[in-house]
Parts: sequence; C-alpha cells; structure tokens
Amino acid sequence: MKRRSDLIAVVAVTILLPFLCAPQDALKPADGPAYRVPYRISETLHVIVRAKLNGKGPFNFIVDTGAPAMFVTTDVAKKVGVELERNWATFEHMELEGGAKIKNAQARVEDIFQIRGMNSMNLPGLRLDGVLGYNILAKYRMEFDLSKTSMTWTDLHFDPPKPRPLLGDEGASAPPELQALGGLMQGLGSAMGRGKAGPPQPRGFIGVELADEAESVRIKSVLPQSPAAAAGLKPADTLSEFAGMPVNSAADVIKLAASVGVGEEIRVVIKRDNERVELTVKTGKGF
Amino acid sequence: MTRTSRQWAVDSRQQGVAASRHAFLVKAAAAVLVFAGCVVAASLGRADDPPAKPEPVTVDFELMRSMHMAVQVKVDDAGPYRLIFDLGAPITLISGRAAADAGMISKEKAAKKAFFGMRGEGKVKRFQVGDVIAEDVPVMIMDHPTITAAAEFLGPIDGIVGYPFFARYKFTIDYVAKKMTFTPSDYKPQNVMAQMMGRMFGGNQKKLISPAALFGIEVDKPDGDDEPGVTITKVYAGSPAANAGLLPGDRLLTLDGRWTDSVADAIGAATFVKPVDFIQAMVRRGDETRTVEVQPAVGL
Repeated sequence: MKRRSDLIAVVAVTILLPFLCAPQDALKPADGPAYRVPYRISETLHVIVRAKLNGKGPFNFIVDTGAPAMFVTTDVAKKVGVELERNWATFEHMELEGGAKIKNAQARVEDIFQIRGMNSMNLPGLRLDGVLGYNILAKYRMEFDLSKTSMTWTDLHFDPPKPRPLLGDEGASAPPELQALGGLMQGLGSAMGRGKAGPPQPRGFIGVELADEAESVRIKSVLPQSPAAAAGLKPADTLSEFAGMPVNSAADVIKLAASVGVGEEIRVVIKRDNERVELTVKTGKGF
Repeated sequence: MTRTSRQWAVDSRQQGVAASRHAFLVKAAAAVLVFAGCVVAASLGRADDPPAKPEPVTVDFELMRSMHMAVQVKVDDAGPYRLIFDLGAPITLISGRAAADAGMISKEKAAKKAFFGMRGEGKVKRFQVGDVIAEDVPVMIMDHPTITAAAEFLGPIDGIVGYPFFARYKFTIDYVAKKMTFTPSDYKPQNVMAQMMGRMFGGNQKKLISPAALFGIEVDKPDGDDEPGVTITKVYAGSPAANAGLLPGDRLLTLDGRWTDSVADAIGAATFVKPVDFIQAMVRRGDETRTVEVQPAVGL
C-alpha cells in the first residue's frame, strides 16, 4: 500500500497542521464586481488558476480550500524578487487571470512537499507554483462548474485575516515524514527521467475550414498561402482519409491532427469530382 | 513521421509498456502498479439523469479555527461526521471509524494499525453532504496521519470531501456567509488514481497543444521580449481573425479572457474555445488597447 498512500498524501494539497487563526465574522456589504476567471484542470484533477505577482508570471496556482493561506514556492519568490519576512512575502500587486486584482497579497513562501512531489514527477502536466488558500479565496464568492471553461468570482469586499502558524513562522507546514515524501518523489522522478518535459509544443497548422456533411467532411474554404493551399486542397473537396485514418467528421480530423507537430507531413485522401486524389500537406505554424 | 510509427507509439502507451527502460525502473514501476491494478475504472457518472430544473441546495459549513471548511457528512446513513471540504483534494477520504459505522469495513479492521492509516477503498452508496446526496462516490478509507494530528487541535475530523464529490456539481463557496450551494452539473468526473498511474508509467507523453477552432493567425515572441502579450505576425486573408479586423503587428494580450504572454499560452487559449461562438480578443495597436470580437471557425 505504500506507494498509493504516498500518492494520496502528495496530491491532496491539504495543509492542515500548524495554522490557526482567530476567525472573524465579516460585515455583509454589497457585492463588488464579478470576474470571469478562466481555469484549467490539471492531470492531477486540481483546479488551476493563474496569477501575476508584481507584474511577473503568470504563475500556476491550485485553488485549495484545504489551505489556510496562499503558498508560493521559493522559486516564485526569487523570480518576483520579493523580500521575505520570516517566510512570508507581501506581493504589492497580485492579478488573477480574468482581471481581479488584490493589493498587498500575503503568501507563505515554502516548498511544500505536495508541490515538490507532483512537479518532480511531472504529474500535473504543468508547473505548479503554489496554492491559493483561505486568505485569498475568502475575498470572493466563487462559482464552480467543471463542465465550463471559466468560473465566476464575485468580490465580497472582505479582507480575511492572515493565518499564523501555530508552531511559529520558521517551521514547515507538514511533519517531517510527509516532508520526506517530496524528496522521495523527486528521487523517483529523476530516476525515471520525469519532470524534465520541455515547454508544450503546438500542433501543426493547415489552414482549412471544415464542414460536416452526412458521414463525410467537406473542405469549406482554404486560406490563401496556407499549407493547405500549398498542398493543392480546394474548397468543395471531400476529405475521406487523414493521416492514414478514415474520417467522417470535422471532429475526427481535429482529433487526429492533435498528434501532428509543426513541419510534419500528413497524407490526406480527398474526393474531387468523384475521383480519389492523394495529397501531402506539410503543416505550418499558426492556429 | 509515418502513421505507422505514430500508431505504434500510441498502442504501446495504451498497453502501459513504457516502463521498460531498465531493471530498476521495472521494479519501481511494479511496486506501484500493483496498486494501480486495484483502481476501479472511472464509472462515476450518475445513472439517473438530473431532474429538469434542479434548484440549488444550500449547505452550511463551519469555518474551523484553522480556516478550513468543515461540513457534516453522512456515509450510507451513518453519522453525521465532520469532514473537511477540500478543493485541493482529488480524492475523497473517510476515516476507518466512519467506514466501520457504515458497514464498509469491519470494526476490527478499523482498529488495526496500518501504514499511513490506509484501510482500503470502496464506494459509498449514499454520500450525503448537508442535504446534498451523491450516489456511488468512490472513497479511500484512510486515517490520514495529518488529519489525525489536526483533530487534536480542532476536534474530530473524519476525512476529506474532495473532487469525486464536488466535481459532479455546479457549486458556489461563500466564506463570508459560510454557505455553499450545489446543483448537478454535466461534468463527468475522472478517476485521479488511474490518471496518475498512467502519467507515472505511461512514459513521457508528448501532448501537443491543440486548438479547438481555426483563427487564421500566426503569433511570435522573440527571446528577451518580456512585455505582456505576443505579436501577431500573420493574418490569413478571409480567416476569422481577418474578418474580426486583426492586423499583423497587433499585440495580442488576451484571448477569450486568457493571458497570451507566450506563443504556447496564445495557442493554449485557443484550446478552450468552441468554434462559431464569439469570443473576445484584447489587442494593443500602437498606443491603443482594444477588444475585438472573433468568431473562430470549425477547422485547423
């Protein structure tokens, strides 16, 4: 059971131990502006939002009601060039993707074992830079729907108190045996050659507009001087094969193209005036 | 690259063969895959369709001294227990005690020592958070050491409500009112353990950024350019971008509300759009910042 519990401990970004805080009831003033906050779901099934700190970034944060405060990695603190005071940093300007701005956002600067563990194995599919916890999240009424691509966060004009670690600012936010997991995963990660994935690369560009017909895909238009035009594709051609696979819908084509990088050649089969024509498209850059 | 080699790469990945680099790796992988074997397939979808116009259900929560949200949870009608509602948890945990009360494991098993307090996993038929009832929620039965330790300061805590529960709903969190609301969502939750084992041992998957629609532009950002946005270097005639009035030289700042500070981010923003829906692009042209409406097309 060991590895499984390790994984559970690492992916559950619950930062529980040493933080306590005097809860404080807020007045209930009128709602402030509502923001459309774009997000994505990481491979570890976390809700990820992006933020810029003092104009630097964007950085990737887990929305984490299991965290008492915002946490950022030491790497983030270094990149932003912020001064630390007993392991806390104050970011004068914080901006969430979607437009919400926070003045003097306070964050604990610590390489929590969960983030280290997940990053070293490249589990999330993106670089994690920290978590957003209570002192940021409580400012908003947050509306989530994972079937949508963005959330709505409404400013509540509430200034949550900064939690204080019970064991003092110098300590770590997890007991040593859990801390060790971060290092363990890091070791395993480098042994397996993980965590070194370069920046994500885009798929290739072709330059055609497609239209679904009954059980076939019609080329609706070809952008002039695009890779499609260079390959000789023409409007009204019917696409029957793409990269060696039969296609019945635009969705089929887009799915197959998702594994073709920039500058690669794809063989396509079209029907033109009832004749079968084979063409080769060399993909380009763009979208 | 030929189709056949690509196809092979995909096939072998699906068969999970990638962990064959050398003996050490195989051993390490085997140790973990043993557990992957007992991951139940992700069949978390709700069997019965949600009613036509469901009313949001309100759930009060307690803001603990540690600033965590605690909710009252019934596990197959046993309880209620106090659990932490945790958006950062891809799994749902319940304590051995709660699992035993609900008849999921024996009292003896719940009392036994176990590594990390891990006592197995199962599905809760009726997982009730306040008045919200979710059926067949996969849970880990685990007396997590951190939770046990925290409970000494905070009073009894019997687990964590995570993604397998909340992902099923459209929900709101309001810390000021200490209330959440839940309405069923169309989202189909995934299985995090299966997903992660796949990532750990499926090799270094090369996932390309795949736009969901056609805009008809090329963007660039040279090294050393640290200004926000990317520069549009080409706008194809007759493309959705051209129809929206975008021009080469425009600085694209956001696309559909997402920052486009790198080429990857700009193309990444296009992965979230739906073709034919109008979306907004914010561009800077000279000294002026403007927002234009673009209608990306079905295509690539």
